[in-house]
This record gives sequence, structure tokens and C-alpha cells, in this order.
Amino acid sequence: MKRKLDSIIVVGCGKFGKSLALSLSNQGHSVILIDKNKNVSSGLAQDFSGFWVVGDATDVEVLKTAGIKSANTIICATDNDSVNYTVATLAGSLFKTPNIYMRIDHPSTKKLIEGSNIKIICPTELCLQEFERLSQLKLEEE
Amino acid sequence: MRIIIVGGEEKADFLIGSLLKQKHKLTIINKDENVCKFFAQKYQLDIFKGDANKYEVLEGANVTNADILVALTPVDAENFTICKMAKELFGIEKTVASVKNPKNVEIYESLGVTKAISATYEVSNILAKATLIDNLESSLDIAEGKVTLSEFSITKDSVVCNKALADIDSDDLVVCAIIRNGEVVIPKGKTVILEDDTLIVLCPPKSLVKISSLIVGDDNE
Repeated sequence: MKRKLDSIIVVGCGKFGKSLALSLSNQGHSVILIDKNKNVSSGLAQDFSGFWVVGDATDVEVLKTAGIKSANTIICATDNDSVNYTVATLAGSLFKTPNIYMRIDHPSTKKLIEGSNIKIICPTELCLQEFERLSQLKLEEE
Repeated sequence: MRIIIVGGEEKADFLIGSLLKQKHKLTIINKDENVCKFFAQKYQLDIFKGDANKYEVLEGANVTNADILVALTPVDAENFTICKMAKELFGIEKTVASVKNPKNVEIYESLGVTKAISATYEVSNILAKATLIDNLESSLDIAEGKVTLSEFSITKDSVVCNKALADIDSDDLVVCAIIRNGEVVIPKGKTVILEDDTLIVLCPPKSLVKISSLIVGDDNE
């Protein structure tokens, strides 16, 4: 059973990360946002009740400041596959974070995490799938 | 050996020059067009322009089963990812990552990178040893840090000066060589250690301080 008060770390305050952090926070979750850019707070609506940490999430000290040791979930949502992969690996191997989600741009990055419990979100693939669904056209498997 | 060098600029240039002298077969992957052109003009070797963080770029550069991959980009996380891809997906057993954050040395090595190198980390280790131990000229960790090879200069105040090797009271070290007047002497138990000798000593790293006292003595005498 998922407790609403589990803390969730969102890495990367782009379109995906920001919307995710806001929604989760509005649902009552405790959300910590990490972004390298300190202008993160402008653009975050007044109603974001979570915390944010300015720093490079690939640095374990920044992850620790954001509470990785007690976090239930981490979502790696930057626009850089390698950053997302590194943070996801640090979270899983060093801190045993139970739920790890990783956004990837390039579908081939998936091969790296095969066999681990990291869950992938690939916008490119999702767009293709959605197109298939809407158009009823079958697309070739890559 | 077949070596892939990813990223970097000055570091890569220096490394390429020295590896080519040793007759290794090199492949360069770099995402900057100007760097690629520079290397193409300077060296005769395979150069691929592309971002090695992408599987397709590594695949296109035919890196499969190369002996070593060295990642020299300025971003630690990218070097880590490239090394992991090299190892897990392309069968490259030995990977080396340059890192800016010294904390990443032990972290990346524990996560599967063969060797992570940070200038700050190396300098800080050398300084730590240098301040602890007098008359320690230099030391080198070998066998994955299990053995330290050190040089000790013997002065007339050193504890072991004018003593025979066999009289050094320790099971924890081997004096493999003595440099005396520019010549190498392979010592036996009865060899007497003289002033101005340089001792080449093998010992476990944790014994280095104790052995230093044994050979050279303490400051407080």
C-alpha cells in the first residue's frame, strides 16, 4: 500500500519534471526537486509546497541533501540520458531507492538498464505508440 | 592493444601521442568537429565524429571487443555512462574514466569502471603520504593498492644506517633493491645499509608509517 507521505525526489525541472513535481505535490506527496539551475523557483507556481535543492544530482552529496537515503521514489527527468542513467544507478546501487524512474531520449539507452528494476519512460517510443493507436497504422519494430 | 579514446582535447592529444609511440591501435570518438579536424591533421588514425553517449555512435565506431576505452569528456556522468556502455554492451573489459569530482573515483570504481582518475584525488593521496613520512622520496601503490613500493633515502641519522638488512626487525617488508652511487645492488640479509643509500621497499600500505619509523626513525629522537 502506498503511503501518501513517502518522499519523492524529482531530478530536473524541465517541462516533465516541473509538471510532475507540481502534480505529485498537489496530491499530498512530499516532493523534493533537484536542478542545477538556481532559477528553478521562478516558474514554479506559488502552490508548489515541496522543497528544492540547487545542485548537480550526479554528485552524491547533492542527493544526500535532497534526502535520497529516506526517499521512496526518484524520477530522473533531465534532458540528458547520461545524467539520468548516472543518477538512477547511484540511487539504485548506493542508496537502494525502491522505485526508480528514468526518462530517456534515445531508445537504445534502454539496453544499459536491462535486468535492473529501473523503469524507463521514453517519450520517443511513447509518441510512436500513440501514433500507432491513433492512426491504426502499424509501425515497424526498430 | 586496441584502445578507444572518447572526448577530451588536450588530455586526449597528449594521450594519443604517447600511445601511438607505443604502437597501439587507436580509435578516436569526439563530438566536436574542430577537435576531430585537428586530430585528423595531426595523426593518422580512425576518427569518428559523434556523441559517444549514444549507442549508435559507439556501434558505428566499431568499438566491440576493444581492449581499453578511455573516457575524457568534461562531464563525470557522461564518462561513467560511456564506460558502462562500453563494458556491458560492447564487451570492453577495461574502462578508464577521468572525473572532476574526486568523490566519484571510489564510487565509479565500485560501480564497474575499471579505473577512475581525478587529478585532485591523486594529488591529495600523494600529499597525505608525503606529510606523514619523512625521507620518503616517492611511493607507488601497485596490485590494486594491496602493495606499496617506496623509496627511502638513508642519512647518517637513519635508524638502519650501518646495520645489516637482516637486522631490520620486521616481517612486513622486503627491501628489493638498494641504489648506491647510481648502481643497483640486490641485497642479501648480510648486506649493510650505508649513508646515502636509497632503499627500494615493498610493504602493505597500512604498514608504511611503521616501516618508515623503523628505517628512518622518528622526528622526536
